[in-house]
Amino acid sequence: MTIKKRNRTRLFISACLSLLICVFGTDFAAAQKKPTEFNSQLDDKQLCIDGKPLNSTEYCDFWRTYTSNRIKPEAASKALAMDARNELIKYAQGRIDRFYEEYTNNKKFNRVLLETIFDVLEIGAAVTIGIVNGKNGGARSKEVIAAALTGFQAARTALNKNFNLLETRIVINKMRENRAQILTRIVDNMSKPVSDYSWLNAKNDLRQYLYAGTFGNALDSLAADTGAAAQNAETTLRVVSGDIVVVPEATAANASQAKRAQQILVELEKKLGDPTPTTKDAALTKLKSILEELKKDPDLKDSIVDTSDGTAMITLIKQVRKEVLLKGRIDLARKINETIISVNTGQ
Amino acid sequence: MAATEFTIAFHSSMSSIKGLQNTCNENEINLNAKLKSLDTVQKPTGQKITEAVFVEQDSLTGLGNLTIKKTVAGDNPTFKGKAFILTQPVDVSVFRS
Repeated sequence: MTIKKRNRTRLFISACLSLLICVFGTDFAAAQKKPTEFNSQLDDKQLCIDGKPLNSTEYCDFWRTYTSNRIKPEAASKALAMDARNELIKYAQGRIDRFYEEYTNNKKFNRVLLETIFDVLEIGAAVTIGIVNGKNGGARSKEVIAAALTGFQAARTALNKNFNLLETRIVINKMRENRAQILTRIVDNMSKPVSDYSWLNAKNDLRQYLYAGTFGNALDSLAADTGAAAQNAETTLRVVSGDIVVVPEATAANASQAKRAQQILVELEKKLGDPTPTTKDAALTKLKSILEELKKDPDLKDSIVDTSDGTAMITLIKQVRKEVLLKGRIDLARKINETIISVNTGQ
Repeated sequence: MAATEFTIAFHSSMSSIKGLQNTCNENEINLNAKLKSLDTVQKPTGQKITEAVFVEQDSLTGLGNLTIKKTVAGDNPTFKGKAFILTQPVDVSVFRS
């Protein structure tokens, strides 16, 4: 009797496992094949030869008309090629739309089927718990079936969490949006001559139109959109005046040079206040030399005015350096710093 | 009378925080002004830039001694700001020694 109960439990678990393998191991509705025009490694020329399935289709008829007329100089030939290209676009669009319908219906069908299977498994497990006798080995059987039931419920929760109906709808809406955008572009280009929008251009756009109708592409697109939105939110930027000066990045040498020039100016300023005339005169001479050097630069000479006052000379140097920087001439500001250092070191 | 302020900008392609530090220090000296703030902004053309505001100083001393670091919780900088480093906005803390 105990063995029979064990067998019954094993049978139930085996049935459940088989069903789970079916659910997760296969697609119930057969996967849709991409249109042959886009599912092959072959190009149109290779697709439209004897023995190939597309050879006798309208697709190849239009393609032959297109290829035989597209490079002819006559206006009538160009119009014929354009017409054939547009027919090819409509033909391929129809095939892609059909694929899209089947693909999305298939996804919906698979989801409903999974829900139904989980319903059946859960009900079956609950009923079996009720049937199994609780005595001796029956208690163990009940535990096992109860554990399996918990597993089904967890699996359903995970399924709902990861891919619930609302999220499926959002993804499908994204697919529709992406498809509409690409189709608008294609339709806009249909009025162009084949020299501006060839069939190969159109086929590349149609391939994007095809992939825009797949879940993977839509999920990627959604991820990209939300990522971009998050980044924009992070860097909501204040718009500033257009005439703001953009200064280039400084190197460590630039910063060091500026600092050294500043130290020299500080030292000279101190010396100007020194009671010893020779120290003061030496500082004054250096400042004059700096200004003389700066006057040699054609871009700076007009800014340098003559003065005999040392403090005024320092103020002038600072003023000119600031002004050139605010005019976007960091090169001149650096030239001033370089001159202060070179004059000070006597180079 | 309020001190004069100067606003300049740095490219969003600033290579590093160290590069930002060098640039701020050089410009403090060249403008004879102390850095007051750093912020990420956009020009009407759409160009993203780091805006740096400096306050003019009378004295020549104390300029060009900034240390800039990526902001971390608990630090106590002179001020906190935001700058583009390699085109990405980064929160930075500015210390004056």
